[in-house]
Amino acid sequence: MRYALILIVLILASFAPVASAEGAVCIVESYEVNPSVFMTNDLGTIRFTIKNTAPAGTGMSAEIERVDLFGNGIEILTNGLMHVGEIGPQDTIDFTFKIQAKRPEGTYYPKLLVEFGNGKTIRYTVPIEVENTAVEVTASSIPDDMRIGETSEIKLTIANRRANTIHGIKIHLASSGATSAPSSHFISSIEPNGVEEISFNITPSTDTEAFLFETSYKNGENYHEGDLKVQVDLKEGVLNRIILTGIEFDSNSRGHAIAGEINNAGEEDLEGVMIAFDETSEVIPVLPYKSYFIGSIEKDDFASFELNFKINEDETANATEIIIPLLIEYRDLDGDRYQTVEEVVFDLGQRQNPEDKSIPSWLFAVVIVLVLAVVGMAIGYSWKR
Amino acid sequence: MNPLTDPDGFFSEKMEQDTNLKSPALIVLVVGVIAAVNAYIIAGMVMEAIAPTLPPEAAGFAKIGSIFGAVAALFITFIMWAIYTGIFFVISAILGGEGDFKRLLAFVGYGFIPTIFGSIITTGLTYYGMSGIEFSMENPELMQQSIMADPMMQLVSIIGIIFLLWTANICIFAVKHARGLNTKNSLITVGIPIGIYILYQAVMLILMM
Repeated sequence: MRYALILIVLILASFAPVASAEGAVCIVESYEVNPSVFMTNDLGTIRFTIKNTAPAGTGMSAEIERVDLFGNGIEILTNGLMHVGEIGPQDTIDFTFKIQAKRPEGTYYPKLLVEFGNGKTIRYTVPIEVENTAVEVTASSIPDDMRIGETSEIKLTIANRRANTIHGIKIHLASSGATSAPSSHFISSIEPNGVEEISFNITPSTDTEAFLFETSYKNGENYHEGDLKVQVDLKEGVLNRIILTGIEFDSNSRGHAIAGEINNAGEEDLEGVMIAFDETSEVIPVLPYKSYFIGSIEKDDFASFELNFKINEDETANATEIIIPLLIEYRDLDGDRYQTVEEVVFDLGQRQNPEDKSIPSWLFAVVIVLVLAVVGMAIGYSWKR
Repeated sequence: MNPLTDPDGFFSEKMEQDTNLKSPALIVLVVGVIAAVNAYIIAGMVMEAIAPTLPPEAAGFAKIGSIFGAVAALFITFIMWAIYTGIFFVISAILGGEGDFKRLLAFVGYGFIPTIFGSIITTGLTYYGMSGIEFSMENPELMQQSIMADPMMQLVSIIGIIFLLWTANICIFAVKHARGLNTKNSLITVGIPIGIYILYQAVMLILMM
């Protein structure tokens, strides 16, 4: 019944938008509603374009006396206009009305009224959709085993189930007692029925039952907010899945090397295991092993690794030892990513007497200059002759 | 006449004689033998380093690998001689050069003389340099990067480039006489391929520094 009424109104409306003014024929050429679909209380605009279709050069202008918009349920925030003026043949003129949809979900039909100097009018009805379907945020991946102090990846899916595009979507972790990387995600727009997946690396510092993610987005120029609670079962203490043993340092003229074993002390196999230096200014990773990829380590098994580095002399001038943070990344069998940092202490006394086989750099320069001089003289001599 | 200090006079004199490939072939053979020794040392060091990771039955193949590397280096030197000559022959022909390929081959062979000195120096430096490099066995690309990033191996590359310039200088006069070109065109003939090769070497060196 409701749709039949809408259809009747539309059919009636289709007869309305043409008016003849002293021979000139004016029409509503187009209109644009922004946002195309409102949410309750959203502000927006409707822009109408009126065109005088009289042939060019005929001089059949149309004088517009009054332009007004009647809400029919939608609040019109722009006053109507009186004595607008003339519109020449083939000319167009735009009228923009600010509106607000203070209504529940449904379709509303504001009506445009254009009165011309000769008493003719245009009545034109526009459907305004109000739909309150919000952007939907769901957790697509939550690690089974999250621990305080350990970084875990939580994946979120943002779905736009609305009939129009939304813009400026921002999502961030709002819970205190945990840090996230990145601190927030920004998505410029999501098309109708579009889905975006994002991930946060969350490191909880205190016990909590849930993480709260806050979302904000724009429908047209209107900000809307939402949130998502992700229930988690945090466990105390970092899971001692990874244990480093047999750490040994070796030094030579080209730098230092750490060797050791990564032990899987957890209750399941680990995959994609990789070890590297965590960010530190005191150590400079060097070839051949700036990082070391191991791959899989079975439960109760271990794997050897080796890393090469140089000491940043500027940062360690007066130090007797340095703490080297080693970043270990791995996945569990569910594919959830984890990373943990283990620290090892390097006694700088070990670098005082490295087995120095190196040739000083000045000697390199001398050798090059000597060879260059001999070859240069031979070549030069050959051209002189 | 000495091809090292007066290549112009040397090849001018050789033009009056019949083409003789014996001396150039001997020069290239000496270069090839040094290259073979160099390859044997490098292959031996790499094989020694990876030996603990190989199954016992593969250890015998490690020795064969070193020998194969040495033989390949010897043959590659002779192939490079022919390739250099072929490239110079084609470019000089484009520039209007005329003359026997065999004579050009012989003359270019003399251009390998500086390579003998260069190879002796670089072989010694390579042996010293390689003994201190730690190899990555899992990744051959990483192993190559480790070698190239070593300062000693970078010195080897620089010395190799300098001696190549000397070789190019001799080849300019070799092409000039063997193909009847003027100095400018023989400079272009030799300069293009050698220049491209040196540029490539220089870029690789800078990238690894």
